[in-house]
Amino acid sequence: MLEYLSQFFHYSFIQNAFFAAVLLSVITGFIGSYIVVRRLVFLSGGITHASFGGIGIAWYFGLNPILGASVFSVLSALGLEYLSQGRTLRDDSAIGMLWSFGMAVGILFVFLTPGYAPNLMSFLFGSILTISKTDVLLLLILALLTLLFFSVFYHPILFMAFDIDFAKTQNVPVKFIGYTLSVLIALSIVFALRAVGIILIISLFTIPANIANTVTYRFKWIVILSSLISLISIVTGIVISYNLNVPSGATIIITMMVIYLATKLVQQLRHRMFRLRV
Amino acid sequence: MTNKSEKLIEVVNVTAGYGNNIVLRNVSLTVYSNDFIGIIGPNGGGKTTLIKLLIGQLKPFSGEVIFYTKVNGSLIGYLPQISHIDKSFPISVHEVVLSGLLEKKGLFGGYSRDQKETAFNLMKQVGIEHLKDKNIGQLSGGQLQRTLLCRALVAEPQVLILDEPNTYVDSSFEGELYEMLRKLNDRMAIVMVSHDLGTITSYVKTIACVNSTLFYHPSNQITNEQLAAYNCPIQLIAHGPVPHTVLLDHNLDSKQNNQQ
Repeated sequence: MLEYLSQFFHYSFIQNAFFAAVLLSVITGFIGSYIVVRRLVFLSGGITHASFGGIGIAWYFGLNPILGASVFSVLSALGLEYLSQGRTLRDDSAIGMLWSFGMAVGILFVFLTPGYAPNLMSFLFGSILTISKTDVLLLLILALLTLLFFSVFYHPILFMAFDIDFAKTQNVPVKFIGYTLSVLIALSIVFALRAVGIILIISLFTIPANIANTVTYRFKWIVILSSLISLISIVTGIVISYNLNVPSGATIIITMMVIYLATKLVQQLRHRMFRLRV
Repeated sequence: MTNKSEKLIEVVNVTAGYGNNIVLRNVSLTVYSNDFIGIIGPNGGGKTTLIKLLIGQLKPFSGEVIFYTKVNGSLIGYLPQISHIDKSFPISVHEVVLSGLLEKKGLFGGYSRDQKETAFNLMKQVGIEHLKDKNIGQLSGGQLQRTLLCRALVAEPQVLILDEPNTYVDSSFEGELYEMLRKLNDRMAIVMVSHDLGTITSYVKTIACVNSTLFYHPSNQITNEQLAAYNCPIQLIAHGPVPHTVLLDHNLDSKQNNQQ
């Protein structure tokens, strides 16, 4: 077993994937928990898909696709945050439009780009096993920023997420915190794209937090637990993917879903047992 | 008895609304330190908009809202409509109450032992200390309302602003709440939005009718004719030896029975 592990970790791409898994788990632990408790899942889906527009344009002009995706997703996240503060348009409609518009731009530019685009598939379906050192470095920076922001502003973030009107009466700088969180969400989505891809990414942010929330009601513990659940799922997903030679994005998400269903099952059984005893 | 010397909040000639939609026109209202103002008016008349102005959350299109903040203590304690609260949010009763001390604590760092004690003592007074570690989703309507009231009171505000505190709570808590407010009124001004006219007139000192415009009625006795003159199309109220309400709206019948 140990020999197998040391052999496994001998490959640098496995090492990169493992570091990425740890960093991604920290990022999705914070950002995913926030997205889930604030009910921003649909909004995050919109940002994710809008970022494909940036990938397409960057692809066409021969630029770094992550850069293009970052610009698109940060701008759309800030735009949606602005709209939600002003309330000039229905939020869900705005998200829906942005969602498909981003995809449309992306598809158009990818189509216009001559030649076959094999790497593009990694943005759609992700592949944590092909993650580069640069990607890992970017993830590290983002993980540190996220950790720092949440540790410094833990209470204001929590109370603002719970009741923004009341938070305003307590002089919480809701605009600053709101916009910063939007940028963090947008960047997390982009940097996590390489691992599981646009199509699967939302589960990475939602399933672990929901598993954690069935076990605990404390936001702090939801963050910690969901990070651990992410880590376990991503590593399991990588191992399965490596051994069966199937896409890692899919194996990661399926692992998460199995844990989710198992937790729900255990919870149901405990409720039954409890009722029988009473 | 009415020592109206200290102004706390002053709304001067304010026109306010959202986007292109004007909800309140030329509204003026002054909150003094010993006030207990009941805000009544039809739905969509601008009661909530007025509250948002009073808690400094909405900037007026024209006119001015002036806050007379004292150095020590916070100015406003706010209790929102309970329907506004996401009950599946992962937050404990204790944390909710502590959030009322956020301004005192400041943005950085944790809560001091003193602050935690203040919060706990208040929870004791209101009778929710045994629920300290419960998640808000596990509370009844009355318990949640008590929690929110603690949050509003924990920083010892000078004005307590309540937006329909009597919705979704059982009638026994409602009576208790009003008695609590009556006592609190010795220490702070209270501004309360309510649909329950019968109760409001027996507890508040003055009434503000809000329906796009605002009419301030400097007593808690209000007649049907005055309501009509104030352009306030709401249920009838009659005054007798025992405060009671004569209702047109059959939905509110149960509330009438609870009262007396």
